[in-house]
Amino acid sequence: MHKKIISMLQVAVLLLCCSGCWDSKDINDKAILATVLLDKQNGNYVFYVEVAHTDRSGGPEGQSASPEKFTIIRGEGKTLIEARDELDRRLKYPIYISAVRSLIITQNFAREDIAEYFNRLRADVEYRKKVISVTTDADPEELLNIFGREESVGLYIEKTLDQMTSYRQMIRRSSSIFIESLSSKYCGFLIPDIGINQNMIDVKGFSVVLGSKVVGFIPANEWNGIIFINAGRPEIEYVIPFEDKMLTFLISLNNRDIKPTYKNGIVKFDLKFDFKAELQYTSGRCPCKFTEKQFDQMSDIITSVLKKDIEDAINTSQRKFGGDYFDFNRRFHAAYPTQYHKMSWDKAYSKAEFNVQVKVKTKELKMFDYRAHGAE
Amino acid sequence: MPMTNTVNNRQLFYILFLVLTTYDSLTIPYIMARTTGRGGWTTIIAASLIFALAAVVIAKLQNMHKGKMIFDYCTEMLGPVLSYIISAAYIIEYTLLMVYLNSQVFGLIQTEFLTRTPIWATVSLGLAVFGFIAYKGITNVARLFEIIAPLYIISSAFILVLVLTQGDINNVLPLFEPDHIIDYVSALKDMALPFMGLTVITVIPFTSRNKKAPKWAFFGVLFIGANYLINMESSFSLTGINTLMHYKTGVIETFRLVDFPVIERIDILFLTVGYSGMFMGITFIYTAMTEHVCRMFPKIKRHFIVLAIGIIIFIINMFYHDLRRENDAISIVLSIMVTFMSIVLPIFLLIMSKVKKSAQKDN
Repeated sequence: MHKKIISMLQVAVLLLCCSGCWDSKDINDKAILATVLLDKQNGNYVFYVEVAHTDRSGGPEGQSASPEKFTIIRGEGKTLIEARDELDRRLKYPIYISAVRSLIITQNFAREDIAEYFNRLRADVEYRKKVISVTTDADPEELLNIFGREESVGLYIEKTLDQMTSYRQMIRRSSSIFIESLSSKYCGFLIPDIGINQNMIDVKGFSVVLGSKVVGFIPANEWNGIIFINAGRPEIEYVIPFEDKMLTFLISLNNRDIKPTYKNGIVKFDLKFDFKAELQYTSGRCPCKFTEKQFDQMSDIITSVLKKDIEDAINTSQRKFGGDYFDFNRRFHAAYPTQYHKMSWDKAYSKAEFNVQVKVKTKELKMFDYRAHGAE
Repeated sequence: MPMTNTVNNRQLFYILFLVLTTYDSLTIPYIMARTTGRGGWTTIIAASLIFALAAVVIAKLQNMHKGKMIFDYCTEMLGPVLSYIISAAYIIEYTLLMVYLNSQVFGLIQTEFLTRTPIWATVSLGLAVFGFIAYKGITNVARLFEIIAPLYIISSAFILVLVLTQGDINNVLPLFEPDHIIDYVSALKDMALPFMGLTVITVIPFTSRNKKAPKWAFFGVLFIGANYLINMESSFSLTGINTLMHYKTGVIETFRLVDFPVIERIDILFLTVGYSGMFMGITFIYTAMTEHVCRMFPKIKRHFIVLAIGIIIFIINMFYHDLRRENDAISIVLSIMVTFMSIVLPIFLLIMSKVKKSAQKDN
C-alpha cells in the first residue's frame, strides 16, 4: 500500500513538472516577432518589430476582426538597450524572438557599426542564429507596411532569398556566418540588400561589409561574378550575341578550384572554373542549325564573358573597396597558416594577383537538337 | 537488499560511453577552440589513446579480481585502512564529478529551457530520480543503459552527419599549424575532464562473461574519442572556430544551425535524447558512489545511503551553484584527481596484484 502511495506521489510530482514549472507560459501571452528592423535616426537607435497576432490566428473572432495579421511597434533610444526598453514598454506581452524570420538593418545603421548588433545577437541564446540578415535603404515604415500588415515582411524576404538560393542564383548565408566573420582576424562579407521597387520588395544587390561596417553597395547587375566565386553550384542565364542572333544559355558551374600560392611576399591565387553552357533558345526564326565549329565559337564568346565577370568582381573588391569579401583569406590561411598570422591581409589582398582560367563546354538542352543536320 | 552487480561487455561499453560523454561532448568544441584551434584533433587522439590504455589497465585489474569491486580487493591486498582511504578518495572524486555535472547539466537546462525555474527545483527533482535508479543496483542500471545509449548514439550520429554535410571545409582548415604544437601538447591537461568517468569500471565486479572486457574498454574509449573528434570538427565546420570560443555548449549552438526539412529544430531532437544520456551518466556515478559507501558501511541500509548521498550532493550543489566563479578551480582539482585515480592508482594496483599473484605461485 505504502509503495503504491509513494509511486502515485512520484507520478504526481513528475506531472506537475510537465508544464515547465515556473516557466509555463501560454503562447497567446507572448509577443511573437516575425521581423526585426534596426535603424538609426538622428543619432538614436530605433527598433521596429513586426508582431504576429496569435489571438487572431483562427476561429470566428479572428475572421470578423480586421485583416491585419501583424502589428508594427517602434522603440527608440540613445542605446540599443534604451530602444529595446521602450519597445518592451509598448508591448502588451513579453517578446519572443526565437521566431524572427528576418533581421533588416538599414544603411543608416549599417554604415556606422554593424558589429554591435551581431554581437548582441550572438549573446542572446533565444535569438536564432539562422535568421536571415539583410540591409535596406528603404524607409522602415514604408517597407514594413508594404503588404498592409497582412503578410509578414520578414517571412517574405526569407522566402524570396530561399527561392533564389534554390534556383542557385544567390549566396544563402545565415547570420551565424556574419557573426563568425566579425569574430575573425579579418572580416569581410556580403549581405543581401533589399529595397522597394514598384511597390514590391526587391533584392537590389549586396552590401559590402569590411571591418565592422557597411562600406559600399554592389548592384544586382554586377553580382554574377560574385555568385560564381562564392555560391555552391550557381546557375545563371546569359543572353549572348552570336552572329545575327541572341542566344540564351543556362550557365552552370561544374567545378571551381581556388589555389593560393605565396612567393616573394606576393599572394597569388589561381582560380579555375569549369562551366557548362546549355543553349536554351535563340532569337529569330529557324535557329536550329549550328555546326560543331559554331558551338566552339559560342564557347569562346561565353568564356570571355564569364572571365570578364569574374575578373571584374575581383577588381571591384581590390580597387573600389580595398577588401576581401570572398573569403580568399580563409583559403590562404588554410594553405599558409604561419605566413597568414604574420601578415596584414588588407595590404596583402590589395596587392594580390589573380589568374582566372575559365573553361566552358557548350551543350544543348538534353531534349533538343540544335545541331546542323543533312535532310531538309 | 542483495544486489547482483554484474554487467556484460556491451553494457560496459554503453556505460563508458554515456558516463564519459555526459556533458563534455557538448563542450569539446569550446575547449578545443580556446586551447588548440583547428589542430585539436591531434590532442583528442592522443588523449583517447592514453585513456584507452588506462581503461585496459582498469579492466585487467577487475578481471584479475573476479566478482569483486575495488574496495574488496584493496582490502585483501593493502589492508582495511588503505582500502578505506582509496574508497574515500573515489567517493570524493565522484562527489566532485556529480556536483560538477549537476551544475553544468542543470545550468544548461536553466539557460536553454527553464529560465525562470530555480536551480534547486530542477536539481532536487533530478537527484530524486537519479537516486531512485541508483538504488536498484548496477545490473538494473546497466539494463537501462541498453535502451538509452543506442538511442543516444544513433540520434547523435544522424545529426552529426547532417552537420558535416552542411559545414564549410574552409572552417576546419588548416588541420595542423606547426606554430601551435605546444598548444596541442599543453591542451592534453584539458582533456582529463572529458574522460573523467573512466573509474566507474572499478565498481563493476567482473565475471567470466567479461574476459574480453579489456578489448571492449579499449575500443569503447577510442570510440568516445572518435565521437569527440567528430563533434569538434562538425561544429568547427558549421559554426566556425571564432564563434565557438564564446559558447561553452558549442555543439548545441551548432545543431541549431542545421537545416533539415522534416524537423525545424534539430537541436531539440538532440536535447531530448541527449538529456536522457546525460541523466544516465550522472545516475551511474551516483550508483558508483552508492556501491563504495555500501561496501564501506555494510551495516547501513542501502536506501539510507542513497538518501544521504542525495541530500549531501544537493547541499553541495546549492553551495557550488552560488560559487560558479570557482568553476575553474574545481575543474583543475578534478583534472588532477581524475588523472591520478584513473591512471596512476590502477597501474599501481595492477602491479601490486601481479606481484602478489606471482608471490602466491612461488609459495
